[in-house]
Amino acid sequence: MNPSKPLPNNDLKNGYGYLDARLSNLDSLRDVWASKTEQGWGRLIEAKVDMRGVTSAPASKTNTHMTREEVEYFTKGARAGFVGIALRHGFTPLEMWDVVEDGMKRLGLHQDDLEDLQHFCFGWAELTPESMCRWSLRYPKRCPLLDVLCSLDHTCAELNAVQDWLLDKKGSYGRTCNDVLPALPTPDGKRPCPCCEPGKPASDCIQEAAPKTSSQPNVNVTSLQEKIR
Amino acid sequence: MSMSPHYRKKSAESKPALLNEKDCAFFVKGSTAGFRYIAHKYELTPVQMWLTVEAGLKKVGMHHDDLHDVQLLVFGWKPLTAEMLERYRWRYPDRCPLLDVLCTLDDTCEELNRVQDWMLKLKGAKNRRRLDLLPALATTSSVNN
Repeated sequence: MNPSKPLPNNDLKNGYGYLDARLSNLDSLRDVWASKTEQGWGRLIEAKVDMRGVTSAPASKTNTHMTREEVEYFTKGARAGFVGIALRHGFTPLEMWDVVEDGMKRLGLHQDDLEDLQHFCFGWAELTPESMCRWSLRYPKRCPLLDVLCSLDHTCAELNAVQDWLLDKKGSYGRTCNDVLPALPTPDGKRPCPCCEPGKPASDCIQEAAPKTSSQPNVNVTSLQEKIR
Repeated sequence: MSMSPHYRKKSAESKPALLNEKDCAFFVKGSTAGFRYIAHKYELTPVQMWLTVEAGLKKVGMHHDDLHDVQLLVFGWKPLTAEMLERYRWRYPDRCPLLDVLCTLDDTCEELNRVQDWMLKLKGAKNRRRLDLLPALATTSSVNN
């Protein structure tokens, strides 16, 4: 429902199979509905859905198309975040996926998309500009994967750069973190963070780890950032 | 105290050649390729594939502590050094549990089979790629058999 544009009160007069008598005699369908009340939870129900907001074209300022370089930039940053956070917090690949999957479900990601996302995170499937466009249309405001990763741990500079860039591109409000999920506890001193060694930029250690998870050729993030901007 | 010449000679002769970085790369490439090949063939997600392999590794007696390392290895999250491969070689002297499980699940990946044959020759084990301890995965259709 779109609260800013309420439906008119007389829209049922337009009719879609109902007799005119329904408008004057409110009890005419009582017997029909009485039988439906005995059908339990599986019974059919009548619902009124405002499809105008769903079927309308996306806002013109929202740019859903991405070039190949932009898709590579996104892929590199997302996987760097996925691997980097797991390494930082001592998670195995499966443990990391469990955490991310839990976050995805909380954010309302469709079950069908989870399998595709799992393949992507582990580097078993690559995104194309076309598939990225479909994801953008499905999640127009924010990227659920980046939201979850940034909420879990917002210390990966490479991931944050991709999140900021994507929020700007989607025309969404510029918050890197999403408060829906709690952040992971900070690793203790016995488990040094690979991203936070003194004097070492966060992206360096991730860049060493992430290409090993991906079948695509090594991407120079700096040159991609310059090219995209 | 000095070692007897006979004993010293025997120990020196029985010491096999050390593995190098090239061997590690060959092993990692073949095993990860086999891991992904089998998952793709049987339409398993990465998580499902690992759970299948993990169950097999437990059956063939891999130590629980090693499962963590193997998981990181097959997903490419941890590099394998020559020293690590040597340690695994001495811990599992007859056969490689990971290659055994993968080849038993499906023995149609050429790259994986090459690594398994090389490993069996290296360990001096009997030349059987598959183990009867585990069942092969069920084929999904006649198309990808």
